[in-house]
Amino acid sequence: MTGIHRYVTGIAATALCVALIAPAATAAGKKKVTSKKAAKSRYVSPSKLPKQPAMVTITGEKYPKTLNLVALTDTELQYVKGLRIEKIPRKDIQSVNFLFNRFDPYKVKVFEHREQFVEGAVYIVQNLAPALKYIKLPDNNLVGYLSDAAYLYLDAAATHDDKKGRHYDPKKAQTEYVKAYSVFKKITEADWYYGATLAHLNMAYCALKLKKRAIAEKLFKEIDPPEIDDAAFGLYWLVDGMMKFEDKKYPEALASAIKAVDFDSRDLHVFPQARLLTAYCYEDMLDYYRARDAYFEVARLFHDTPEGRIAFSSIQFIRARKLTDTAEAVGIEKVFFNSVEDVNKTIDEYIPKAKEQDKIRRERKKRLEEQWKREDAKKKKHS
Amino acid sequence: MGLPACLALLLFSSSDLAAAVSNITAKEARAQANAAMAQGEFEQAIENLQYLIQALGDSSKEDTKRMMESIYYRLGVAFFFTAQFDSAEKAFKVYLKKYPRGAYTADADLYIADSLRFRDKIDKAFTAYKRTLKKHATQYTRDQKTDIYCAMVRCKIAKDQWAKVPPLIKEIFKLAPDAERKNWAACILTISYLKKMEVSKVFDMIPLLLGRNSFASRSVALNMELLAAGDNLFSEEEYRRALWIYRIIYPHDMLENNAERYLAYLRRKAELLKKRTDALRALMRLQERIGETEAELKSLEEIDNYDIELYTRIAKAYFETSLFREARDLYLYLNEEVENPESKDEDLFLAFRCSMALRPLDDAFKLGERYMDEYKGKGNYFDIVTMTMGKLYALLEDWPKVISHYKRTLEIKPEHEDRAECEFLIAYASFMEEDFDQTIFWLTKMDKQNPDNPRYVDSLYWLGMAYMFSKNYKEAESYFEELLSTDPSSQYTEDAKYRTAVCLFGLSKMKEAEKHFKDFVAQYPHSKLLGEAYMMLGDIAASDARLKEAVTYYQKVANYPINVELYNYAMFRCGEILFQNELKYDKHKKKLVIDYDAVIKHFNAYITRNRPGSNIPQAIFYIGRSLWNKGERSGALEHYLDAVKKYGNEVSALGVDMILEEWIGKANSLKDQKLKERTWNQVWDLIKQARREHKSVLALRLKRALLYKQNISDEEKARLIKEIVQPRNIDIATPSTLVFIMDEAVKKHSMALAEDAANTIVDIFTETDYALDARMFLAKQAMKRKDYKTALKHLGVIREVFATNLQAGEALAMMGDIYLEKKEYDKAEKCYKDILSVKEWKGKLWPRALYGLAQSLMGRREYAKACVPLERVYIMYAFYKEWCAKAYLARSRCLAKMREYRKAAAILREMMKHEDDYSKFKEWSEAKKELRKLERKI
Repeated sequence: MTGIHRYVTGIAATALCVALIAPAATAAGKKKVTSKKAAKSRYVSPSKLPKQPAMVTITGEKYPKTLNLVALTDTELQYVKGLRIEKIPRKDIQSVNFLFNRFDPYKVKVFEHREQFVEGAVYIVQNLAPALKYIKLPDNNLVGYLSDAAYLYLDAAATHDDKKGRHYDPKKAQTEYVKAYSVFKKITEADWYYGATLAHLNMAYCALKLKKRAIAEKLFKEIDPPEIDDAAFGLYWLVDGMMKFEDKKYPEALASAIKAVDFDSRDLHVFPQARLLTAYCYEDMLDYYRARDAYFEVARLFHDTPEGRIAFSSIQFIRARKLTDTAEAVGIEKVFFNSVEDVNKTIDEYIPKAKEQDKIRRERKKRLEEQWKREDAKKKKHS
Repeated sequence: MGLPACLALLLFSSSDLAAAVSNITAKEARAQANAAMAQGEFEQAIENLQYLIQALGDSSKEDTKRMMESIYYRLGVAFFFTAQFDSAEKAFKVYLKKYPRGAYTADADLYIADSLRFRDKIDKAFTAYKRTLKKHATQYTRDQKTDIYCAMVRCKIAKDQWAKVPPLIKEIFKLAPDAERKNWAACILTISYLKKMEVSKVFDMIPLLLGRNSFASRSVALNMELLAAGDNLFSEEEYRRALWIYRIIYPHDMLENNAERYLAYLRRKAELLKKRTDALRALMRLQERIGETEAELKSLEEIDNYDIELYTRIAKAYFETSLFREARDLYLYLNEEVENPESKDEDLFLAFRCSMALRPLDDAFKLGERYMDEYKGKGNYFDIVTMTMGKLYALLEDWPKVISHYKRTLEIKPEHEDRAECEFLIAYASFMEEDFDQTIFWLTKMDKQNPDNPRYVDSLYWLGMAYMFSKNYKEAESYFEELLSTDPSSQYTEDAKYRTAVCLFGLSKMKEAEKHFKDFVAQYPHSKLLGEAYMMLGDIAASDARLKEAVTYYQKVANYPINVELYNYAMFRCGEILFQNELKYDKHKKKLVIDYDAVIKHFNAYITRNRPGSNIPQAIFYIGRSLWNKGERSGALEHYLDAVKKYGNEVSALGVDMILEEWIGKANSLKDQKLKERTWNQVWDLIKQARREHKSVLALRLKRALLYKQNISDEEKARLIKEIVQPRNIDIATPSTLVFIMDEAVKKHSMALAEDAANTIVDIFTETDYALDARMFLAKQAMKRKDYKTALKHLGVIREVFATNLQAGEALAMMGDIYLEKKEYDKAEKCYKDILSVKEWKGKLWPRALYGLAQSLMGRREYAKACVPLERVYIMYAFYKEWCAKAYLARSRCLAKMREYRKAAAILREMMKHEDDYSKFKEWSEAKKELRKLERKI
């Protein structure tokens, strides 16, 4: 194990997040190596070399491809060549590939698969830590992994925030939202990254979840409404809708949520929430028929997610109260078509089946978790 | 490009094939082979490995045999990763033969199966996978097993045996230790479900399909299958399920971007993995994915961009599932995005149609207006949009908007396909606005320009109605008759029959009208107009002095639903007849007497029914009077007072004042002094009770009543007046009390309080008769201040609202005077002429109007013309001395202005003959002076 990994492994995730919030500090926690200090002498003794170099492969002319980095200033990147500190003007760098030799993305997938979101996120952050201060370098491979970590924290928070779920723990949820917020904040430093706006909006989203409305609003106002094709489009309107819903401006919140639903229906972090928000708005506007439709949609399509569970209980509530029992008036806008669909009947048939399936699913998951535990124990024993 | 070619290209390109292995030792060859393998230079490794096998392969030494095991195995691997699958298969088979219990047997078997698959020997490969899985079940890790199942799935896909995919995928779900392969499996499973149209199962997969960096986000095959399945559901009108499918399809460009980004990522990763000897199978997996992604991208290039079509279908599905807000936003987006003008037009129209279902309708109107502005009569949907917009305005009963909208529509597009309908709706809205002339104009225009219009029958009915409400009964009747003969079974038939009878009644053809009404009630026993028909029958019978019959008809009215005003009319008309006429014989059956019991019963039933808008105090009034007339005096008074107590704390209960006045009259007329005193004392008790219960309105009302007590002392009266005439009482005073405050305030010269009271009456009791006095007072006050604008406002209302009242005539005269003062002679003349056109005002108002008319003519210096009305005054209205005196003097002045001094003097001399009549007026002395002047001139 290299020095980097020996150092990083012991740090708790929370501490890492603190490091993320204060990017100026070196990953070693030592004094910052500024360009001024580095410039004092072009020769350094080996003992004074930074103990945690970040290995990179850089695309650009004139420079050796694989470098051992020392520091990054506003204008240049410093690296070690023998015992000398050399510099590359930042404008000359086209792309950067950090060499995370000990980092195995496959392991992250395994964590994700087992819904061990926090573990997955910690694994990523631990392994990427030495490179974090170079996140501003263009076209680097760090931000992609960091995004994965941020979303894993977000997933962990959502799992703990799920009142109907097995892991409900609001305090833990808040902690994970703080971590997600910090990682997203770090990502926004990579202003060249296409997902920077998305990260910025995710910060606003986390702030909302942390009930820090003023911060959320400030962050939100810093962003212009994205274009429809933009990856941030759905999240922008979801956050907007959430804030308007908080202000009890239901028609406006509905209009925003619908934008997210219409144009960002393929993002698991946006779509179910946006659809659920439309259901809330319809319900508060006393349009129980549309609320029913939206709840049913979320319950049916996202059954095993926090949103799905909320929607399922809401749909049961609406049906139990018979809020949609009277036949809906057909307006003249639908006179041309003769499409008749008994949604109530479909839902009434679905509810018992879903309950049964949910039971089976829970048991299966339990069995699976036990199996993973056994396997892990076996591995540990072997190792 | 398939995986083998991909592998070959990638690896060959980075290999240096010129490695010569001759003249080197086995040790050196082994070191070189190891180094080449470590660097991913498999081609170079092959030569060294083959050299080693050639040199040491047949060695019988145990150490050498052991060392050679990895050499044999590595040769297979090297062949495999240089895409020489045939050689790889042979090499692995040699290895397995030589080392059947070797360390790499499980891997070798797997590579053999892979080689078979890459050589398109799919069935053999599948069998090989199956066999090796069974053979090495305990040796393979979960990761490897997952890989094997993935390969087996690929075999089935290659053979297009989708039905056999699900069981294998389920194994992957069970085994896959990572989310990525699970996600891939989910996508493949989804495709297999879609092939069989097992859509419900697809919905269960959605969370997996929508995960971050999901395989679905770059799989052309999956997205195309989804598109096909969505279309299938859509064509079967399963819109909700189609919608759920459509929504997870990635747009063409997004799919391409995702695939390209993923390919770049895979290539970068492959470069790194190539240098790792411990991740060969991972490298193979990666290369396979690179090949697949490249193939996906290539096939995507051949597919036309389907984004617009996809969004159109999503919008349509939203529409069909009543999610109109969602649909509208999409249609508006499509309207911006599409280039085809016809689609653009249609999208805006559909967005408008979605808005129609949403409340409030503001957005629908905005979009409708936008459509009208953008297409100016040329859009494919202009006619339907404009027609619908008008109907929506009609739905909101915004009739002025209906009229202006359709007029604008016809201006933009005179050849509108529903022109007749537009015109009909303008006429209908005009009718609702009570503009009957416009109704007649538009309907006549419609029928004239387009005699075959589908609204012809409707137009006959509404023309009849418009004429009827304009009191042109003859014309109205003819339209109703035409309607009945043109279409005897139309929806208007029943109504038209009733209206025909009403017209006959209006034309005073009572017998015919009665026959029509009787026929109507017989023919339509369940008609909604039955109440009105019985009311009309009652009116006819009453006008023919068939009072008993009239009572029967009126009382039948109460059995049917009817407008409350008509209901009240019928009930009180009936009550009046019963109350005023002797309709039953006395107990000796000799003399006809008034049936007070019947009156009481009638009005008690009315009170019991208590329909909204009923005039309960009026009914109580009749019951009280009937009781009184029956001799039940104390009972009658108590009945009245109970009603006052019950309803008297409402300022707006005007009937209570009427009851109270009746009570005062009756109480004062009591001859029994003790009873009288006791009765009046009840009022005091009631005032005290009202005060206790904070019923200030009732208390004030009763205080005013006390003023009318007989023998009330002046002191007490003055005290009561002082208490009542207070500014604080304005808000709690009933209209009669307000009039009282107004009058008393005038007497005390508190004009501000009087005006305050009058203004309150006008503001709150606008429609009552009390407002008439108040307005007249306010008009006079305004005239005094020369505030003609305010005066004209009040007088104009008196003129309009109380048209038949004498005060309306007085108002007109005052208006004429104001216009004279303002020298607006035309308007003044019109006012005076209006007075002269009403026969009922023939008394005092006519000489005044004639005099005013002459004054306006004099103002215009038309003295000869002015002489005519002046002469009429003293010839025809000699009784009204004041106006005659004015007329003599004025006529003399006119003649003098015309220099006809003799005639002028003659007029005045004639006036002087009637000294007794005119000497009391100021004109008398003026006349005398002017006569002297004239005589001097003569």
